[in-house]
Amino acid sequence: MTVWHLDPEAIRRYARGAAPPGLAASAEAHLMRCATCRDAIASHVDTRRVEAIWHEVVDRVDAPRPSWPERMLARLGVGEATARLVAATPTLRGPWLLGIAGVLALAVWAAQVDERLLRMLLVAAPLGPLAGVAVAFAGGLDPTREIGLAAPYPGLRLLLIRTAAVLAVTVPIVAAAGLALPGSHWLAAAWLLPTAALTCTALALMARMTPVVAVAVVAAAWVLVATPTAMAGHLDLAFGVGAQIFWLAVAVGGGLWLAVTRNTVTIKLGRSA
Amino acid sequence: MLTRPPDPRADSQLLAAIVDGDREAFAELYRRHLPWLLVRLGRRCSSPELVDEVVQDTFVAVWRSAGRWDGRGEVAAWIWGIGIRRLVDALRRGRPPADELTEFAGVETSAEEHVLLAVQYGDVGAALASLSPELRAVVQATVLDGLTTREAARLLGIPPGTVKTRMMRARALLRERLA
Repeated sequence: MTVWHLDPEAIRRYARGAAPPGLAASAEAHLMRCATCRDAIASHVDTRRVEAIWHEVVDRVDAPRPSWPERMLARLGVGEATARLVAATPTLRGPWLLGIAGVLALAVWAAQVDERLLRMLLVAAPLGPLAGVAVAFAGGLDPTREIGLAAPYPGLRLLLIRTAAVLAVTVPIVAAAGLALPGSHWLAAAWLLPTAALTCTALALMARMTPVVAVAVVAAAWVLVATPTAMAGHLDLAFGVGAQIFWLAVAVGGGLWLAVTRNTVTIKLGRSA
Repeated sequence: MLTRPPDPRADSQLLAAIVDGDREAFAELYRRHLPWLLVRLGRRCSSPELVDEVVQDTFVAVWRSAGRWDGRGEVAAWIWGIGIRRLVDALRRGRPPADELTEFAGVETSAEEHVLLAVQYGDVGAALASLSPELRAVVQATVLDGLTTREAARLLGIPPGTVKTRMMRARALLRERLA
């Protein structure tokens, strides 16, 4: 600690923002090292302001700390409210992700044993992300459901945010499983467009029915169509080039439908299946 | 919270106590360090609301990361480092500074300040005062506040290239004046 101190007049001018640059620079350099002069500034600062900030700080220190996905999202520039919504999505909790990963790992192992099971894996792959979307809105599992029902928050926005979050997490898991497959690598990506198409269709259907029912309808239709083709060995019918273009068209169509009807439909998040 | 008998502990001891969750120590640290931080940040940002927000963030960060203080140097300098970077982050997050920061226009140096400056800086203070506000703001952000070029650019609301050229010009001028 130095014996030299800023004189009271200099401190007063600095604290009021009236000090010229040389004095301010000098004062700031000194303040870093001198507790006495730092204390002397306190009397020039509005006590109500100090108290008000203290209360805010205490409130935030006492509040539960956001979970790390939430903090990561906030760091990436996502709004606090959106980050909380995404983090509260049931699908994104550990057990669900583990479940999806586990099922896929099992399927990959089975596919290496038997050629026919490989085809079944392709049929099953889009169901992973789809199930994730359904779970995200299953009433009993969503911790924010009661709040969501009462909050004047656009249903479609909630739907899209959560669907995007679910896809962002589940698609890489499925893709990793696909890369572990034996044989040609186009198989590893063949399910992507069907998944996009099924998801968009489910989203479009959610204007008419609850999310869980919509996903169930789409998933059932997919299984009914894809399983026989895959078992019969006509993989091209569901995953060939022509089929991929068809899936792309369905995905774009579903997206357009959502965009066009966004102001007129009500998403029934309230009633869950 | 402000009317308490003074706590005899040093800043570093307070930080150590904060790591253990000592709220009293935190209040004491806040009482000691909030006022100057408020004033110092206030000189670098034209919006008092934003400054309030930033010091709030800073002390929440101090509470949470007290364990990360490496024990070297002044606690005040550590807190300042957190504070000024939070301010830069806050400015980057969208709310642009009201206008380009070239604070402290209208300089007029009194005799007593000359004495003060002579004590702390000698001729440097006078040379600094003779710079244009634009150049001075850059010197202040990079040399005195310890910011990187990019951070200084965000704080001042000018491109990083401009910070570099202004810094070069300021250095040349200071060299000339002090020669």
